[in-house]
Amino acid sequence: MKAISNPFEFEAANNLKDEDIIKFYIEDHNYTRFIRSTKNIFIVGERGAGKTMTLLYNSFSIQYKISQGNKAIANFDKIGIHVPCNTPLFHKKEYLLLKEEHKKYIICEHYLVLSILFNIAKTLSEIPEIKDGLSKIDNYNIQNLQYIWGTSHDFRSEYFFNDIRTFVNKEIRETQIKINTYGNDSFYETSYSFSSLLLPFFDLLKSIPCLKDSHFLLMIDDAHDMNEYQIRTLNSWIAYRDHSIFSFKIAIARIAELDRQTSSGGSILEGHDYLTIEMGKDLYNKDSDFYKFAKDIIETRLSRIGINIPAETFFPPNNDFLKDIEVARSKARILAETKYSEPKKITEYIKKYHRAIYFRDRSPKANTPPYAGFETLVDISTGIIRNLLDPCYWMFDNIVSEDNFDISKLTEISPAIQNSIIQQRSASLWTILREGLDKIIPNCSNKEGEQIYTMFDRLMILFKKRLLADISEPRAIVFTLTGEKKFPQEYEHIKKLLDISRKAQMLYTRISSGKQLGSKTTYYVPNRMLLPDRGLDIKGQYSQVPISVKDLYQTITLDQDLPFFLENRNNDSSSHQLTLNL
Amino acid sequence: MNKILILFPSWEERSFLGLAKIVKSRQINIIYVIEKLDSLNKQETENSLKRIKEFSQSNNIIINTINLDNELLSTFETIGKSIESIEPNDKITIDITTMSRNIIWSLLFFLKQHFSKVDIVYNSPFDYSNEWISREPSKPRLLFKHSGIINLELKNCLVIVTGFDADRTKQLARYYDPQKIILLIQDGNKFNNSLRNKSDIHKQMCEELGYTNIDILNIDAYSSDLGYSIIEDVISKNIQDYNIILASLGPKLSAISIYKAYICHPEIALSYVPCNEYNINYCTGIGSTYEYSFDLECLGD
Repeated sequence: MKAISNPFEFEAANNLKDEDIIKFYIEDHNYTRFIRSTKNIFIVGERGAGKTMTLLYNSFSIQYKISQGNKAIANFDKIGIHVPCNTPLFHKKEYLLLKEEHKKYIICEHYLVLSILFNIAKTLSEIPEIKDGLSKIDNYNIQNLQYIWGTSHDFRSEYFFNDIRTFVNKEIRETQIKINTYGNDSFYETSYSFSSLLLPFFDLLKSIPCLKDSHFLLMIDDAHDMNEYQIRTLNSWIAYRDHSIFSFKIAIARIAELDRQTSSGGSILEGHDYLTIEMGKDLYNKDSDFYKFAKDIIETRLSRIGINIPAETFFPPNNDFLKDIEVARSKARILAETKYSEPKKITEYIKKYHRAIYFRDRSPKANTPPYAGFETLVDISTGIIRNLLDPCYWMFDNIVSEDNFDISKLTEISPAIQNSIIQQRSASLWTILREGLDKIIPNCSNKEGEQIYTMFDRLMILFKKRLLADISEPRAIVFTLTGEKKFPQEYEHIKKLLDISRKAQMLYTRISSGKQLGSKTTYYVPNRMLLPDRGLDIKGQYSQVPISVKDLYQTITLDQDLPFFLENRNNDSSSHQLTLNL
Repeated sequence: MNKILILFPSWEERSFLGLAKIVKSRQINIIYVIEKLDSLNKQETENSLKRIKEFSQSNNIIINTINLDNELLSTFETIGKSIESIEPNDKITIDITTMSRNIIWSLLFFLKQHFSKVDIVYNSPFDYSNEWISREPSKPRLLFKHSGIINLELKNCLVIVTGFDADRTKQLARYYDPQKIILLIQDGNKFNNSLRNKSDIHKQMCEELGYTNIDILNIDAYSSDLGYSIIEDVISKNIQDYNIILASLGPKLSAISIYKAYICHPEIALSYVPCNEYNINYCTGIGSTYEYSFDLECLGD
């Protein structure tokens, strides 16, 4: 039997072929608009959110191939250069052996600018129109560059970019050999900087006709892998006012961890020097951008194995669940009509409470509810593409393994298989938490690992209590913290646990503007794949549970339940919650 | 000529149990004891140190202590300074039994500047327990001065000699994000290896992160060449196309064959994962002893 490739396989974007990036990527015009602007942009998203894919898709190498595929004339206005930082070059630590601070800056900038130059040359060397324009680089320009760079390296105009690549690799090789020799103060004396290496190079590129007016989008990927010296150096470049020739698009996992200092001791400011876009999405209803985005992704992947049907048909919901939900909806209507007469209020009430009624009416002895349907998969992804593809991968793997599998007859993945896989994946997340994140996350202690398990365990208990209770926001599965300033030590400890949880992708955050002018609120979103194991509703509502730092600290240190206001009406943290008579 | 033993005692019983035999057979007259200020399983490690010092005093052996803190930078620098007092004609034996891989490699690096050969001794435990082995890993690190000669034209390949802890495999793959992964799985059933170090589990860990370009080969770190021929073969077949990062999570002896490969191929990078907690009961007693004469220059075999 011919091996069938799983269409939901999630390959790290850096390992995908250009053709696959073009086939798989679903363009989000919002991101594109920012990335192709001349502004400095920070793109923030957790692992699997699609940062690398977005940058690669917008790189000139891919955009050129797309225009070729469309038989269109390539546009040289914006040249996106993908500069990956998660490479062994960026993991080198020898700079720490240097005694003088300025030497650390010099050697770190040297590696960084050579990496950028290499990636510019690599991108441009693959473009035929640019090769045709190389004859316009005259000897004077090349000699000028050699003079500024202090090198006698032979740059032949017809092979200019290939010779640049050779030059960079020679420089990098010589630097590494020198730095790795015996002796702590091994230093590479003839190091390059942005102004000595890249600015003269950009000047020279202007002599190539199709690049005369080009703007270079320097797309620094996985910037969190840069060391502190490189980040400060990059910040200095971001503070550079002239954006006519280049701008930076910086993909980073967590903006909060970013050092905003420059190498000269200044700092960069959001809105002034850069803008931030968050890749995490939190709106999953059928009309949301993320739902449409997820649907496009799944349908594109299905079409690659010859299945051209809507995602909702391929992943059908459970019929019994739909019927039970309808019953709950009817009950909600009866309740609403006793309370309101306006149709709008009745509709709102049904929308808000029918799912909670479904969960509340279930027998306490019943199994967990059936989790199936494309909408459920989107909800369960917590807005992360990798989380969307993961259960789909295992569902497909499950049916392919059946003896009588015939892909030509495949039209859906049954709700039973969907539910079974979702439960398995949910249980495996809990196993990771129970065994301790200290086993997988650097700098997490065993005690912190235990406390994180307790935190999620008790959060789920609180969510369950709320779901089954007669309250105004029963399906809230997002929380915020209160009392950070009142309990600073406790907050510091909790902040560390939350950060570790984020690194393990057990928790996501969304930043939102608060009601007070200029204030920002952080919403903590537990990975929704944790919910099925506890029989919770994976479809949240537009609400959050405020939890006081003090309560959360007590919960994790004393292994006790989080206070629920219905059980303790005097509890400060939830005193503003209202109950409704359903 | 002094006969020097360098060791790094831990809480494990074998830290001390092999000492008398080494001292007697190699007529050791100076011991360099590497001590961490904040050692893991502190009380038990201090007991080991006490026994070693008492043994040395009663046998008229000079003890030189190398104090290390928990900083990786000062660890590397201190090791370099500490061996400066060793004379060129002294004969050196390193007991790697309970020595961290970064310390083994750092020692070999500094010794390589002055010596062409050292002896290596390793005492395996009598048995490993089935409990967890390590917790609280720090970030993987490329060892100072062993971060390879990276070529930007090449993709990256992570070669891991796997161990009993598949989470460590996953951590390395996640951290280095390579285009290719080669898993070297210890052969045979020593210490219940065939159950505890299954290739499927390590492969699955990598696949969960989205990696598909994964090769699996067997290696025997307890063989006469410590598995070097397999490592050398892997390097020679991939070095034209990949920057290679090598990590040893498996049998301690593989750290030696990996270093031999590094000496012949300084382009490769050596990675290790510092851990903050090891299970105090993860092994018991003392088993076989392995002894090697190690060339600190590439002889091209």
